Amino acid sequence: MTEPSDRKFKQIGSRPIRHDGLDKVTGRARFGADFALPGMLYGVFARSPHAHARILSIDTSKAERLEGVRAAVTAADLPDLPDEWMGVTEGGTCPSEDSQNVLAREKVLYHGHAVAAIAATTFEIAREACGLIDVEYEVLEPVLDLGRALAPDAPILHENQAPFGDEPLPQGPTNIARQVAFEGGDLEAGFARADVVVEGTFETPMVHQGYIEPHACVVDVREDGTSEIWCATQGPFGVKRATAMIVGCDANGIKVTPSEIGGGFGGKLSVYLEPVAHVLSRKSGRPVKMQMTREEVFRATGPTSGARIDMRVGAKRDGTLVAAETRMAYEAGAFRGSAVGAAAMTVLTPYRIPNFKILGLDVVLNKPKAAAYRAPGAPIAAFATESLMDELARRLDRDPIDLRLQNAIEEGDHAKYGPAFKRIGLRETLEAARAHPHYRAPLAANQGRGVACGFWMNGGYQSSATVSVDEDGSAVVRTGSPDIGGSRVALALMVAEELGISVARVRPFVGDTDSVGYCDPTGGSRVTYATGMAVIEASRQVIEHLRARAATIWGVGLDAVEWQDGCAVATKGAAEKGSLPLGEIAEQMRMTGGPIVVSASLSPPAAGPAFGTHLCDVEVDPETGCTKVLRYTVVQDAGKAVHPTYVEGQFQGGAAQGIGWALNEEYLWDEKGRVENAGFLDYRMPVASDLPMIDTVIVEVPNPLHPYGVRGVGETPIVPPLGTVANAMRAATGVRFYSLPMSPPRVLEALESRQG
Amino acid sequence: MAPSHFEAPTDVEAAIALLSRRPGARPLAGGTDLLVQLRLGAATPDLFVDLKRIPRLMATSLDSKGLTLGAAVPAAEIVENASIRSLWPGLVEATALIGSSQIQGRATWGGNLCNASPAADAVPAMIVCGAKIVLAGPGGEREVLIEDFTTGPGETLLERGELVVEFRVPAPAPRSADAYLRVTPRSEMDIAVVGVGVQLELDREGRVASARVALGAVAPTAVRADAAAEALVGSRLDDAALDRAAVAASTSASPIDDRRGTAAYRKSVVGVLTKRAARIAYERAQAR
Amino acid sequence: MPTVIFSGPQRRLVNGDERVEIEAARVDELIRALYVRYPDLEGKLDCAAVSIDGDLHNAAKYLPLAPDAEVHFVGAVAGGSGTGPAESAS
Repeated sequence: MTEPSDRKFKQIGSRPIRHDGLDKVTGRARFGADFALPGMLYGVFARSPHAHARILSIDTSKAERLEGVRAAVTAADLPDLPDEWMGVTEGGTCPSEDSQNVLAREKVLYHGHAVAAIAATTFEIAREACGLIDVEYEVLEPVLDLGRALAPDAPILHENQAPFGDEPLPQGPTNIARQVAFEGGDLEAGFARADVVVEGTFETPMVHQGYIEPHACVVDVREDGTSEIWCATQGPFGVKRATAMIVGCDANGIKVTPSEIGGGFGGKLSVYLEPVAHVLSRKSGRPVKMQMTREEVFRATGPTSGARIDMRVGAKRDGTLVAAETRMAYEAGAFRGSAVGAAAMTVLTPYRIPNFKILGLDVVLNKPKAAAYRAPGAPIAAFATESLMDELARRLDRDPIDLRLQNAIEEGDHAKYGPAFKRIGLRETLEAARAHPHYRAPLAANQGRGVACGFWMNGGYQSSATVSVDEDGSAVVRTGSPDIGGSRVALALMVAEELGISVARVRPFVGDTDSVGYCDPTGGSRVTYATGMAVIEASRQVIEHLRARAATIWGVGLDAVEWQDGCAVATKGAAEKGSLPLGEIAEQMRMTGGPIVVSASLSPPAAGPAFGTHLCDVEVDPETGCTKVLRYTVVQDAGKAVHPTYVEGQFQGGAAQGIGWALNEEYLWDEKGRVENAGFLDYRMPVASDLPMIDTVIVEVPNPLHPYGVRGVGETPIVPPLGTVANAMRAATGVRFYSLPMSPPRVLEALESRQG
Repeated sequence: MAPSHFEAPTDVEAAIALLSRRPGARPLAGGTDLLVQLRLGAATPDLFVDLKRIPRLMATSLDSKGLTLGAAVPAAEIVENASIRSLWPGLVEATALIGSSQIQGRATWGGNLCNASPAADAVPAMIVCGAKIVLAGPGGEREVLIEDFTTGPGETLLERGELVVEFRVPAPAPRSADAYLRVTPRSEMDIAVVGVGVQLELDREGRVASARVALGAVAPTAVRADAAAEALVGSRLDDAALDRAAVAASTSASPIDDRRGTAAYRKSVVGVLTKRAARIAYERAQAR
Repeated sequence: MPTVIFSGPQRRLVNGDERVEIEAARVDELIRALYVRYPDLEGKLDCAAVSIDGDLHNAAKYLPLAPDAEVHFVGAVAGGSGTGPAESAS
């Protein structure tokens, strides 16, 4: 499907209003919690007050006797599932652990871990009933940080679990669940050739995706065991599969309808509510709604890992990198499966380093189970790499962009995980950043500028799309890819571009699992790339139908009909027939063979990797430690920006999340492992007034795998900000920050110790 | 969970009667703290007594003696009142920092004070303006200085059946002005890690004739820092006087470590803010 | 013949070989041939993503291999966990 990248687009690259925009700004859009059914019950979780404890008994009988309570569920209602890692390519899963995260079995493993749930006629009654559930615990020592988790005498969370992955693996009881390693060249020989070695230990705390919409669903199980689920999710087909697996029913009997989604960022790939609501509905015979509070979202849904990264990088005096070594320990939370694999793939990849050794450890401890968060694992890894690149530029007295350009990977260079890259745009983003006025703008006292790069692989996976033509000449495009970043209008633009009609005449639709072909979840920055390819393919087949219909109408051969700008055009001796617009062909569909409906599906390779370079200016108040972000510029290779406004929106959103991560966001735990800041008041994501208008530069180095050159854009923008902001702080204060967040008390302490 | 009763009296006497009737009765003004506490299970009132239909609690009156402001007047009305803003810029700055625009439409001085958080932004600003409150209860009315009203986190002088009716802020003396500053990690939608109010009155030569300093979030309640104020008196706000005031403010603070900041950080920053707020108040007073 | 390039940790399982040429027309044939040649590798590639000439595939089993194909096996394409097998990343 590849075609020349110099194609002149008519609509791709324009900025129409998104189809879902009006409903979003008027409040009419229906999100997860907006669904209701007659006779619906309300389900509420009882959660563990302990971070680590053995469950001795659970007694729900008192709760079940409360007036208005209709059903109770504990892990005893769920089937036993295999306790083994199912190593599918995308990182894998353990069925038993997925079940245990939904409802605890032998042990509770974090504060807020669900132990039971109640369905009642009102939320208030269900909540009251949860208070009547007797759970007897044997409290165990909580493991709350990586140091304790890896200590020889640490309590072991999963006694019967052996580590797996790249060898040599640790022997004996351990909280290390998995190892990932990449190596190349000769590390010691490489460091021996280095004139300069920079090193550091970098630490970042667990942070949450912070989507505005809490998880919510309604589940209705029929008498025959089939069911319908309405929920906010990035992957309706994943909800179907996971719910069937955890409750032990036939996936074929489950229909999942995704709602509008108020943010996901990876956190709405996992299921938390649906299997539990399913059991409650089956037991009660009534539809059950479950909806988390903000506090539950913070305590029991997917944060991303906290981490500790040891790294050293060696370079020659001329700036050539010769060796790098890193050991990265990532907090998986209560169950294995942190993003350390992706971290290992991305950590050193932007630079040519002939001799390297990367070791990643997936470490379990008594915190919520980590879930995906926008370029999972990569921002933390890039924080370490980009901080040391900055330090190296200082040691060698080099411009930080020049030093990166000198070592930047290009087409033909190998990723640290093996494959050689095709056409990539790291160099182009660095050059665009260097040429940007931001890079030369003057700075005042207490101000500093930082630069950093970032990389994300971008996914492929399976997608389907159906494009149909209506009698009035409009078109509908149906997919199973929930829209978390403006993908509906992007897909509609592709149909409009191919068919040659206005994008306003294309209605994009995200369907339920029974009405659309299979799509893997919205994630990995894959929708505009992979689902987009299916949409383009289906659109092109629609054109073939339209040509054939025109040929029928004109009574000419198919080869005498071309498609141009939304019209069938007669050629080859039939030119006197002129042209037929799509609308007129559509009007006559019933006489030329009936409706035109085409589906296409595919399983393409991973999308082209996307690189970005960010610039940030900060001003640090030397007396209070408060930091103000004065200016921020995101430069990123989008391959081809289908709808530039939403590409820019992704750049800005990723930067905003990364700035928050760098400056103020962190989970706070007390000594017993209880979350102290389970709300947005004290979990300090930035508000609008904390950020400048984030400037964006879209670089377009076409992706050879996509017919328009599209790369994914959603994840890369969160990769550079941690390092960018830290490097700006270094420039403003003279202090290198190795730990996040760089919150005012930590900054002031660092400044005072510098002066002292 | 939800309170079983809700009443909306239209005069102070009826409110007092309702509040006296049940031990679990709570006055409800904007509800921006109370409703959050209710949802978290931190407050369990069995009766809400809504104050917003009582004319006296919703009234604003400004004359040459000063401002009388009903306890349930929303922050937005205060912040948008040009006269109040020009007379007490610091008090208005502090009020404007409470919550978002939406919260401002509901939040009140009465609530900010009665919630009795040591970090309440309006309270140090009220203290330095010499503000008082009028309490009304079964035993009649009494007037109390703001700094005497809060006795600990969540604790006040209010007795059963008693409510805050109105605030009385004396008109600023000639050549006097106030200022309020706070430090928060976020620029908005946050709770003060440290807050400092300063009010200065200058003599004709531009020396500080009298001063008040009050500190927020560095002690169990907002507190006056009289030693810091005295350090400023007689000066033209030279560096030496400011440094003395900063040290005095820092010394009089007795902060704790909590999730919003460390004690050491608060000790350090309270001095910095004292200096900065004093400079702002001084410039404003000079301009009057 | 297609060339397989082994990453550092994989080399421990393949007698230290950095690369090997193996006759195979498809990925599944290639994997079978590798298991025969390197018994320690048995099973380790079943779930790996496969890079063929730089394109990373998650479902490569039946893909054809050109005679000059360069192949890497990548075991760590983990985008963080989600429930169910097909999640990658946000």
